[in-house]
Amino acid sequence: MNKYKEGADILDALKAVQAKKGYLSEEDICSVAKEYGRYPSEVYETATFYTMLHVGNKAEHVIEVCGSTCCDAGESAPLMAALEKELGIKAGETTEDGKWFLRRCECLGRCDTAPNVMFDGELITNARAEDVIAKIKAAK
Amino acid sequence: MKEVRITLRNAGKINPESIEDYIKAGGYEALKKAKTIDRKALIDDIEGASKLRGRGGAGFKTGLKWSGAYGVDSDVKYVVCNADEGEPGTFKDRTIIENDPHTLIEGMLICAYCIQAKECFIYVRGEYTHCIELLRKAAADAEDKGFTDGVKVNVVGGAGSYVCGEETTLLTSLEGYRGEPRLKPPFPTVAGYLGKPTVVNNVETFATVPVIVDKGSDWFGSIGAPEYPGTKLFSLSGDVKNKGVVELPTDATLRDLVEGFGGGVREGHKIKAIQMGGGSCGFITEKELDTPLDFESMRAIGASLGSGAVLVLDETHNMAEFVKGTSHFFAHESCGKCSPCREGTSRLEEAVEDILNGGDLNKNVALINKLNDVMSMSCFCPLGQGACTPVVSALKLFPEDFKAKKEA
Ligand SMILES: Cc1cc2nc3c(=O)[nH]c(=O)nc-3n(C[C@H](O)[C@H](O)[C@H](O)COP(=O)(O)O)c2cc1C
Ligand code: FES
Repeated sequence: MNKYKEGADILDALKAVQAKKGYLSEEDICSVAKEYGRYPSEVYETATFYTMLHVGNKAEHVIEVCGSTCCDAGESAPLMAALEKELGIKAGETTEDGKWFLRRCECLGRCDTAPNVMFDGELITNARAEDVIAKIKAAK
Repeated sequence: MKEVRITLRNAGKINPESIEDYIKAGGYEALKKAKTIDRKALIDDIEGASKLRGRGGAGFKTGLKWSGAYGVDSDVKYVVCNADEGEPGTFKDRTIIENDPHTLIEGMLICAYCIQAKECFIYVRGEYTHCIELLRKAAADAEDKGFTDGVKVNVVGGAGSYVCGEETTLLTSLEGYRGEPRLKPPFPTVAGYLGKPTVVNNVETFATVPVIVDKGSDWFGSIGAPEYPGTKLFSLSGDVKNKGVVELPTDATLRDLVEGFGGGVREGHKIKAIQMGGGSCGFITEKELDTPLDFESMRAIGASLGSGAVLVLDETHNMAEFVKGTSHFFAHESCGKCSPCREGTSRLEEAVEDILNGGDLNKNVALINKLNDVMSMSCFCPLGQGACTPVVSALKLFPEDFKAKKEA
């Protein structure tokens, strides 16, 4: 029996660790690397590559607005602009208090209900600015 | 034109969480039947008579791919399902899995029998959490009922990366590394997951296999267009009245889909452009609506069937603005392995932005054409090779949208 795990579920393992606090720390990466018999640098490479993994990103809430083709055609840009205004940051930025991270994401495979938003991992279809802003206010 | 449900035959009729429902609907009979047929004969039949071709985008002959892996001498082989579905505008694989996860697993088990693989992987895009749960349950149930017969079916989640949909990148990602493509050849059928012979097929491709085995290759081969027979799932979105996934025989036309099922665009509006095949493809116009929805017919008009994504845009859209979005997508999703793509996708986005900001149109168009030439020849994988396609296509079909911006 191999002492180490195979790589096939390394992404799932990283996601599981991340689920606990919303981001991955260097220690997390080292411990996953140990489990899989890999160099920490290799796992760090992996962890920083994928958009669903956040290394050292401590924002409490993550809002992602799909900006790919169908959502773009479905007016995702004004939606993003409204959220930027509400939070006082630009897409790709975190609020100063570290509470909110806003960014554009790519096609979520929900193109028939454009525009789509992921709010802390929860999907909002046919998203309207006022609904998302109401959720932000509720969480503030 | 009526919808013909072959791949989606069970959709809405069975409970996707219930293996009993699937069995009652004739499920896993095809697998039993397959096991009574000689492996090579079955592969040849799928290739020769059903002419099944990959539904993931490239349209490669499925039987030929399987016979490649079958012919390689190796103790360990793998079957991998590409459920990464990252092509913007595509949501048909999700529809299959959400409605009928077992048909996918059965198709994969038939493939595993054919090539003598003992382990299967389904690589599902990370955002499809519900699909991952459904598939894990389905795989466990199939094992409990003894259908897997010693073949392990693993379900793994991706973590958000478009390029991981490219098959060699998918395998690299499956091994737990950052998503970068590998050189072909060797093709995955020779050296795939962990360097072993591996068949990689799309969800729709596998999900179509059980019906073919069940009803016969000749039956399947007689439906739709002769060189790309059967049905295809289309993900219809954008400015049509009805959006969603539609399964049509491949001799149906784009008009059948957009007008018949989509109900056309809103009253008082007209179709400006259709992005056919997915976010990385070019545009066609209303004039091409009578083109049949098969691989060769689309290719003949310089378009592509791709994943079957059909995004309809009405005249309210400015195409220069629109392709700024597609260019941003490629710049974001480029893996960074090769410099023509890493640099080129960013230069492309800048050039389109500069046009929109009133920069020199001729200079930027010349740059875009040059980028297109260089990138299509020198990028490592099709992501970069095709990154300029939407922009070049929009420039050709809607030059006024780029000019108007300059003067505005
Ligand atoms: C950039 C890129 C992204 C791709 N994304 C997907 C995808 O999300 N799903 C898929 O099935 N095929 C995708 N493909 C095609 C795969 O490389 C491969 O051709 C396909 O999985 C083979 O399966 P098939 O023969 O059943 O179509 C992509 C290709 C490229 C170049
Ligand atoms: S383009 Fe936004 S979900 Fe597909």
